[in-house]
Amino acid sequence: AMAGRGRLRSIGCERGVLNRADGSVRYSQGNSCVLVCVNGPMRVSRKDENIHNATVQVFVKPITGNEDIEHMLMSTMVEDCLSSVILVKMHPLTRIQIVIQLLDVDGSILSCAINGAMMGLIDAGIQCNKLLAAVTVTQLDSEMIVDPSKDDEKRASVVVNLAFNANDQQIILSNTNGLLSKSDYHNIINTAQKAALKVEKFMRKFFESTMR
Amino acid sequence: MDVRRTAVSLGSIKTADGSALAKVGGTTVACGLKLEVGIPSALKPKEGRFEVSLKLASLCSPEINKKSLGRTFVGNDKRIDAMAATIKKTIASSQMMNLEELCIKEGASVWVVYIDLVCVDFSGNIFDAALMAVGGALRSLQLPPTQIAEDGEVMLSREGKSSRLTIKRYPISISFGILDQKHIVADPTAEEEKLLEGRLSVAFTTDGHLCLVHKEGRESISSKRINDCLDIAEKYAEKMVKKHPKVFGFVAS
Repeated sequence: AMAGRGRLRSIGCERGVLNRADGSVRYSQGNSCVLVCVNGPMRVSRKDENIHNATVQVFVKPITGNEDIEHMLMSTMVEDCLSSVILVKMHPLTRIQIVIQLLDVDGSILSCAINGAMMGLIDAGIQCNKLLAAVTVTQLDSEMIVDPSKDDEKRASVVVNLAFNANDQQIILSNTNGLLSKSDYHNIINTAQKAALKVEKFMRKFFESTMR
Repeated sequence: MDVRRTAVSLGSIKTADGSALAKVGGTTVACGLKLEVGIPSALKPKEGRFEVSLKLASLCSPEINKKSLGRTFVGNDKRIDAMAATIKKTIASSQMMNLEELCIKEGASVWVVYIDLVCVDFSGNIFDAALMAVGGALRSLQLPPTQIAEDGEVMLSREGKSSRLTIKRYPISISFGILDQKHIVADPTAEEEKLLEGRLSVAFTTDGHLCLVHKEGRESISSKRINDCLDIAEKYAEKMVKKHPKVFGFVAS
């Protein structure tokens, strides 16, 4: 049990994992691991089509069992984040499908999914106008833990998920659990912004070194 | 930053174990609570549970089945389920009720509260109305007296009084629509919601704690703007306690 940890756990990534997908990535933060499969732009059904933009569809698949409302919430949150970075106006009347298969859930799974999906988009070559980085922060009393594990999340009184636009540090996603104060939230944002810069640095370094 | 007129009435549905009807402007959400006996989880043998479901009734809007509603934050099933999950998390985060009060027999039987929300009139911003309706319904909830038969089955008993839940605090939310960096609208109407690309819901409890900051949608927002919204939401929660004392005010038990 570490008291107040400001460092991210080790990040792992492997690209081109699935042969038939346009883009795929296996991404992990600590022991939390996701497999992301990106396909698109591809054909869209009549009911989902949009004449101005590509339709972004995200599916989050749990390790076992069917999706429940928690996974629906997770997938809408990831969908919103990715819709804000993908240049959807370039591919109207198509869809971009992102499937996130949870492989191992050991805390910070939402930020792991968002970061993995971002890397999947880059692997697929989908044009994006910015990089986004997501971070989960927990707080117990006055100690903050960045990128918590499952045990850290259970012990904490507050768990906050944040996603930032890498260019200007604006917030694309915020999701809080637990009771906190306004100043707690402000401090958590500051801590998370610093950690998000490190995630972004990893993403850039990874793709620069694995150009294929 | 104006919010439309709100109204909450308790106990409107007589067949439910607890109910409330909440309005924010024209948006009307009804909440019915149904109690069922369930088995507690092994890790928390003294705690009851609750489940939240949200539905848009077909009569709530003439555009209910049209694609235009699907483009907004409500209308398609996934977004509505996601909203129900957010409402459930807000209730859990706020710690408004003590789940141990739902215990019938430790380790064997607990009450499971099914919170069913139905939007009967859609004029934009379901989230705030839904959360108020849940608060009101939980306040009006009556737990019937029970007795346990020899075989362990729980039955309603004729003697004994119904009890109410002790509600420590109520979460009160205000939702903002984000059009772009400069324009943030509080309590968007249906027409406004169609144009919005981002939404921020902030909930404060009636005793001043922050229990939800939920930002979704494509538009990003700076942390300074979020702080401005937090200040507005804090004042709004205080105002609501004064405006609806019979629902959100304290009851001496």
